[in-house]
Amino acid sequence: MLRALLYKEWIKLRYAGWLAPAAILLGLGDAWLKLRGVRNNHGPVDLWNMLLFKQTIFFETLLLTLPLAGVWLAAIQYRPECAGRRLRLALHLPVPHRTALYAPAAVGLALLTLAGGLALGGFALILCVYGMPAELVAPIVRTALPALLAGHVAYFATAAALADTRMIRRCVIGCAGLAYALLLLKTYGYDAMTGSLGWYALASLPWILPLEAAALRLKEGA
Amino acid sequence: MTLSPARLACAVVTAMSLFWFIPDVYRRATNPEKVRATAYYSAVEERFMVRTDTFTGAGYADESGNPLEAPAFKERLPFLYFAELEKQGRFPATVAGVPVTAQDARNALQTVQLSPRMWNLPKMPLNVLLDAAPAGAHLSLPPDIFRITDTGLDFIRCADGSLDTAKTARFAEALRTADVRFPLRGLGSNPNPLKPFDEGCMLVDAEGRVFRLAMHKGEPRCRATGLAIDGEVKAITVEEHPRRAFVGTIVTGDAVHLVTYDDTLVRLPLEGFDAAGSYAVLRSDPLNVTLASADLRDRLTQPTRYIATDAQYNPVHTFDLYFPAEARSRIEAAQVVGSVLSPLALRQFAPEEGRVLFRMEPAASLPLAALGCALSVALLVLMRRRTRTGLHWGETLFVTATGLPGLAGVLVFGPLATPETGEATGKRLSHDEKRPADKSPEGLKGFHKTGCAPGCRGNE
Repeated sequence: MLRALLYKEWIKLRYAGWLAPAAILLGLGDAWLKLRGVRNNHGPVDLWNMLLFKQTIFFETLLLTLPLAGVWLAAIQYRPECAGRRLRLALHLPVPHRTALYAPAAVGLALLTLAGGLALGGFALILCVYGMPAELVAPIVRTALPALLAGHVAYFATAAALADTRMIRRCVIGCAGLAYALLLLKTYGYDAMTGSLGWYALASLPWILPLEAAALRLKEGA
Repeated sequence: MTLSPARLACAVVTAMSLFWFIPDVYRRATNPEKVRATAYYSAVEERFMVRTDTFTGAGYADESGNPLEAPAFKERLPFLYFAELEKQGRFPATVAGVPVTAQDARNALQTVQLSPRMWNLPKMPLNVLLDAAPAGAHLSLPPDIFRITDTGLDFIRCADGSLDTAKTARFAEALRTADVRFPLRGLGSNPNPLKPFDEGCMLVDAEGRVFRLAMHKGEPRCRATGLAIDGEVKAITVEEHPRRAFVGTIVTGDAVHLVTYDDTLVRLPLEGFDAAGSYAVLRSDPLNVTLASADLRDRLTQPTRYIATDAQYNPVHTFDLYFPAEARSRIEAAQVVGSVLSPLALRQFAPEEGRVLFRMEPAASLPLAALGCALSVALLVLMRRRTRTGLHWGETLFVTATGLPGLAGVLVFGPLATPETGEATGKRLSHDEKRPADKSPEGLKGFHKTGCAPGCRGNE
């Protein structure tokens, strides 16, 4: 049964799912072009000093694409599942309801994490190609970690909003997800969430459950 | 009735979002116009003068609060308003009996600002060393940066990221000759190439000894100053200024030291300085040096301590400047009233921190916060009575602890408690536990039809 569930996710993701990694790749490309532009127009010395002393965030697009990718993946996975109260049928499959509910999430989040991981790896690679030392690369790459966490929160918030049946709850859960994403996207130079990212991750853990709450309401007919 | 963890999670994330959103919006909506009060030492009067700036104008007074007109205020501070007084031909020939000119005042004016953000930020072990004796007319950024390791300094070329082994070896030899012990406790420089001249880096080695390192035409120059610092070094700054009174500053946990050009360590008389949250400002004029220090963690109630010193940094006059009373009372009143809205506030930024925080702060007024929580609980009880829905003690407890943000979560996603069924708790029930009304395919497996009509073949 689990294989069938995973196959269903493959069917949903096989075309539209690639858009999320593609958007992240675009963000990565944008960051590379900006680096390249500064290096070619101002020289490597100015580029290094800009990164070292001004700590310019030149990869805003990449930071933004991570939560947007989360929203997109959740939308294409849960929209067909939830439209017309179809989620009720999924909950009556002969598997524990959590398996039916979270198998798509596991697939989507794995894809998002993989894409995010590749983006961060690619980002580090670009910085290394420009010869930057690990002491500079590591904090710059770590700056994008909260955005990846925001992507996961955005995924769960979108899934819960789609699964819910009442507009007010959809709006509130959507706004709460937006608030979390905004909190996680705030930065102050590189690696500014050192010391607090763990707390933000802990505060984001409850986001796993709103999807289940919405699904159980639907099952109960609430 | 049991508390549903899933519904509780919905209420928790809503409350967490509102812990940030409500206090943030409220603060931005009620913040009064920015007011800034600054004290300046008047060598003419031998006391401080206070200037209070708002966006609509400035107020002038002496340290006792006696108001002054702008021209009288400026006449008492000739070293601050030297350009204006010089233009109007009112710059005095002598101040406190000492002959001075506007040019003296211009040359002597130096301001050094040390903010806790400088040392509370995560630091990269990378820095630059400018050539202090360049071939050209101006200073420029070098083609490399250096990495501070536990054993030395590695110079890395910006062009390709390769290690400049020759330069690294030259500097390693210079540091070894000067007897610098690694790992360094601190290193500071001024990487701004627009400064008038370069004094290189100042560093404190593993034994707390202070060294100066510079580069002249690509060659290292390192020398021990003979000075030593105790305790953790928070920050080192290098301040190139034409008056050449000091090379830079060394900030430790409870003190700010100046390193002078004649290799003397001067501990500034900043009582109560705490690097965790205090800032320090030094401002000089031809006759005096003014020091200021305040704890950024509590700007409203704690004063800014101003200390006027002579040229040898001996205190001559002290003054505590409090936040302007009117603005303070308005801010405090807004904070107190805002306590009703949320008992907790999620704070991401603080003036003393350079990082993004996750700080849950209690409301300014605990009684009003408690009132807000009590009102929220009362509202919850009323709503439940009106809708004839049961109230679980867990919901009451949650709203009591979280106030209005929690109430919003409970009202939207509640009731948080559900009847004890498999569906509500998320548990799968066995066939025996199935409710009669369960028409799910799993439930139908146990169906046995009885009392069939003649000819009926049951559930074959």
